[in-house]
Amino acid sequence: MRRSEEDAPSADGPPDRRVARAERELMRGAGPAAVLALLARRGEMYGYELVAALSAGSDGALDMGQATLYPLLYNLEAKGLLKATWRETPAGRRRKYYALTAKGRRRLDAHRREWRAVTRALTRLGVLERVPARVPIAP
Amino acid sequence: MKPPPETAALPRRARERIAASLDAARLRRADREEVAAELVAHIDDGLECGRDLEDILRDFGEARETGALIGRSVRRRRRARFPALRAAKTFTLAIAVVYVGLFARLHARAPERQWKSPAAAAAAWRAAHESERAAFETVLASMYTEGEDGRLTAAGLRAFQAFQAFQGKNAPSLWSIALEPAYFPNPARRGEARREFERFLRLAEDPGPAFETERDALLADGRRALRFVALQIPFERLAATRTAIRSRSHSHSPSRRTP
Repeated sequence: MRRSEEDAPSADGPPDRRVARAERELMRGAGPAAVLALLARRGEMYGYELVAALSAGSDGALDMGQATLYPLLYNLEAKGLLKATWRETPAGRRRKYYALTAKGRRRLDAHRREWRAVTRALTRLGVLERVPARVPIAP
Repeated sequence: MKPPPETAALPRRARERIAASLDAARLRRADREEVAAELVAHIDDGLECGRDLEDILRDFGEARETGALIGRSVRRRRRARFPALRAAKTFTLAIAVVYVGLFARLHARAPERQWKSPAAAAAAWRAAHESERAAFETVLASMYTEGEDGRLTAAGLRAFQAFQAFQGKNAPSLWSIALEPAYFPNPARRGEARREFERFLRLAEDPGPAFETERDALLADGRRALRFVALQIPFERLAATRTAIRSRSHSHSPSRRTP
């Protein structure tokens, strides 16, 4: 998920269309479900905390840079799935904390159903192996 | 590419990277400041956790694409935050769509009978007819599409310069053509115009002042006057006929009284 200068898409269509496609991919992938699930578990989190938790919890599979995370958060906020609040840290810095809304919780339930169905299908097809126990997500 | 003030405490490279992304995002001032503050907080949090600045900046990705992605999502968030603005835009769009529909309805159809010029139409109207009714049928055929349910056409409005006459103009300006659908959102159908004409014809045949009263009332009511725009053409002729009849009856009446 991480985008760097090295792997940024080249002249693959007009820039606007490329950005729109990147945004669609961003919202379609596992990222939104992962962010909603983390916020459901932790209550509220700030941007860097989310990046670190996603990276650690997915063994780097859901590594997100600012280029991915913030557009994703703003899009989820625009859809009314998250609400954001600015607060001051003990060190006197300002941070923006994100939390799930009721609509966000409902969307997370929908995501869970979709991902369960996909996982079941991929397991039946032999793409995925049966996982004997739940993989713990790092705090 | 002026770095935002929120980034003042950051190293120069970080400031430049944030500024480049924000420039590409093309945001309003308030949104730009908010996003800058959040990106600064992100970098500060990373540095606080002991990460290397270069490592954090690498996560920023390509500034233009990052900025474009942030810009799109922030604008979407702004639209969601201000539903009244979105509703106003939707409303404006709906009005525009309806207007285009009305414009097409008025301009896409041709009247039953078309004239080369308004003068030719006027001459046909002034020519001798068996009756006022027959003369008015010429007007209707020149302004409306065929059939009892026929619609008023833009070409028909030009035929007798009816709208221009109503507006006190000799020729339609581009503005007046563009505004026609607003003036004629719901013009009377051909049959309705004919029935209204019949009513005025009966009033005209009555010696009392009812014809003039009703005519003045119709002309004074802007909406009704535009709805029955075709009626404004025979009014002059009917009024002239009435005046002639009256003057004849006045000139004959004394001789009748004389034994």
